[in-house]
Amino acid sequence: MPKPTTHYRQKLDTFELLVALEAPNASEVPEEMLIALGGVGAPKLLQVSEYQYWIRAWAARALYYHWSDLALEPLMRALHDPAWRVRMNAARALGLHAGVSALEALLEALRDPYWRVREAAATGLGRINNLEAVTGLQDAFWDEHEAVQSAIERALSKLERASRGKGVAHRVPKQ
Amino acid sequence: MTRLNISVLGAPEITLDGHVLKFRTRKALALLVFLALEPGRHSREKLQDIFWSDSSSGLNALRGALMYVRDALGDFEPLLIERQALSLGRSSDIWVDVWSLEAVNLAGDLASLEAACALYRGEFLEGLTLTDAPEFSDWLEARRNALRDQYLHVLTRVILLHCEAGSLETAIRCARERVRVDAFNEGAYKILIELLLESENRSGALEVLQACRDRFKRDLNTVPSQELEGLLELQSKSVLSGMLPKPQTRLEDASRFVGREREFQQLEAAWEKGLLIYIAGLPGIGKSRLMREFAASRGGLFIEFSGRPGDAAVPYASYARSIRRMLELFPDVKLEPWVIAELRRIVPMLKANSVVAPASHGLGEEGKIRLHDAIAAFHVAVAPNMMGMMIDDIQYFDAASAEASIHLVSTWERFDNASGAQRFIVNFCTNEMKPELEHGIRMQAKAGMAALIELESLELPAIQTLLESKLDQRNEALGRRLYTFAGGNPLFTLETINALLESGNFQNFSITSNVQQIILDRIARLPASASVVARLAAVAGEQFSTALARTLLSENVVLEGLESLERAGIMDSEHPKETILLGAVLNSIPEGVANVLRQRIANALEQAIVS
Repeated sequence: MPKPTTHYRQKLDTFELLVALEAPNASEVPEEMLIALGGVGAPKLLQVSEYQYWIRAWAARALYYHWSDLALEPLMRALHDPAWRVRMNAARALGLHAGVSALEALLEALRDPYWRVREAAATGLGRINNLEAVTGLQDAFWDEHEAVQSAIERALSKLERASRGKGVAHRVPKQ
Repeated sequence: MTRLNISVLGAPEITLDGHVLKFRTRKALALLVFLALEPGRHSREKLQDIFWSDSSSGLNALRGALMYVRDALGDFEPLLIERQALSLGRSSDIWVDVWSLEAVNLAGDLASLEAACALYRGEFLEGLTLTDAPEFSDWLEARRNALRDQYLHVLTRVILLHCEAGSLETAIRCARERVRVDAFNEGAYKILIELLLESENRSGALEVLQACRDRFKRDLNTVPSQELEGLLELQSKSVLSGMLPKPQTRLEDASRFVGREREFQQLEAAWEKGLLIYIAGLPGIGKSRLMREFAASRGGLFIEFSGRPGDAAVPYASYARSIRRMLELFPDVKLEPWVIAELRRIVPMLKANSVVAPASHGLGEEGKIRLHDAIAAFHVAVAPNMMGMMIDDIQYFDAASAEASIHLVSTWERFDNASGAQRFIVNFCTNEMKPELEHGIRMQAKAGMAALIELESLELPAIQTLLESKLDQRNEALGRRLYTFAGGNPLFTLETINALLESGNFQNFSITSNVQQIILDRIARLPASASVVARLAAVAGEQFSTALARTLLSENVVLEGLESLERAGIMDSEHPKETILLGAVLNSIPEGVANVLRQRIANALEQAIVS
């Protein structure tokens, strides 16, 4: 069970978030922090053994809002988490904040077995104005999932707009 | 063994070993029932106040009524009669139908729920009125409402279980009973219409809709909502037209954003960060208006739905309505079979393209989480079709929907600013929200995981500007009077200004029926003691004090009533927050009752002076 606390730190602490991001379960995370991360229903949800991954998913989600460069490596490791929600949220946080540092990790996530992770990775790559990102997105263009295809299209369009005049073009690749 | 049966869910019927007991007076019967339902010792003074408040010989009258009760019960003596107090303890030789209905486990099996339903022969103590005992009448009214609500909860659960078991005919029979008992609740009609449509009885559904129209017209002088009217047209008509937000009209009405510029900026910042957004404040403070205006300024499709006070009676009523609404808008949304199977528990009309196995669990804890997961998955599936959702008055969500919302917040997974994100703007009334939910929201907001925008009353300069925008001229004195009268509440202020403009009489402020209704609804949702204290305060006016209230009402009523009124922002210690609030209460008190109260207040004040 989560540790009860009698006080609440108003500001989320990066170190605590990084601990939560790699926590196997919620036992080491104070209950008040759980509520701050996952809402008032968080402690109840974490009573279900198969939902323990939520603590890591919430930590990744919190890093989307509260970025720290210290989170770069842990989030890249989180892209290999067994739970797809953790991988998806990690891809989102990296995609929003990490820029070219997360390029390779996101390109790899573009081949994740679960489509929600690939969709998040595509959206993130759309923010990295880089030829490799474009090539990776073009390679993945004919993803089996419609939503991933749409995300790749949006990402390529965005990159094309951003890089107009820099030689990076959005071309629909042949199937 | 002697057995006393007290059946009061319907016309009272009290039997001792199967023989119906006769009571010489209605008050004697009412006294026995009161003692049976209110556990603990009751002082004779308190009982006198409740049953004979207007009589100077209350204690003698109580003694008489007690004698009648004992006469009726003969040798059986369940009452504990002490010099100062009376009580009736629970024991195995006494059975009260109310106890059984109140104790029923909503998660229990169908047979036990149906047995509980069978106890409800009609409203609590049907036909019994004690016109000379206002406190008892208040208690009776509150009990009647609570027991009817409990019955409706159980009945709704029975309907759902019959739906799950595929017993559509029985579900329809129960749904008809629900409409009979709760004839002014649209939700009851909706369930029945949906079930009739599900059983392909369209003409029956039409008849129910017509009955609803007739009833609403005759008794409420209103009409059913478009949502109800539209139920029969869903399959043939797209309702998407008209759902798009209205074009930006911020400059149309200069009064619209007076005093709210800062909050609008906070909304914009929270939106850019992709946060969950909550708007909180008292009723009439402008939450819904701000939310809609902000949504309109985004220029995309927002779906709005609201919690309603009537939702409380039906588990998942709020979410069932929201899901139906979105299915009307997005009939082609792709849902996984398990999601459909789960959602059919609360939206039986949900059609599956292929055979769907029934939901795998009952509604125990595990089953609930599965259902809540399905609700979350449904939101994920519809998210790409819209820019966001606006949820109005979440505090009215029924308990089950509130729990599902909590789960939705926890498992919220489309939060970034990419296309297809789930964006929520939620508003709630601070005084009516469950404290633990509000606490959770505040913690999330403090941690930067959500934005909480709290709307306060407008300050005097904003009221002056508002007035000026309506009158086309500055009138400082009128603005100050208006501020004292309506206390900076934008809705009350605007309604009052409109009433002034219509009447042309700028000397007297009047309380419009709309405002009056909002205030009375607000008080009606508080414990009965709040209404009693509010009435006393409204009649007493400036002479009201806690000491006066204690003289006329029981200590518990005063403490609970005042505390509820303070928490609801209606009273501030002993004083009304704004003139308008207790003015609305005063307007609602029948003249006869007001006169009695005035008399009692005068007597109490006189006695205070003498002593």
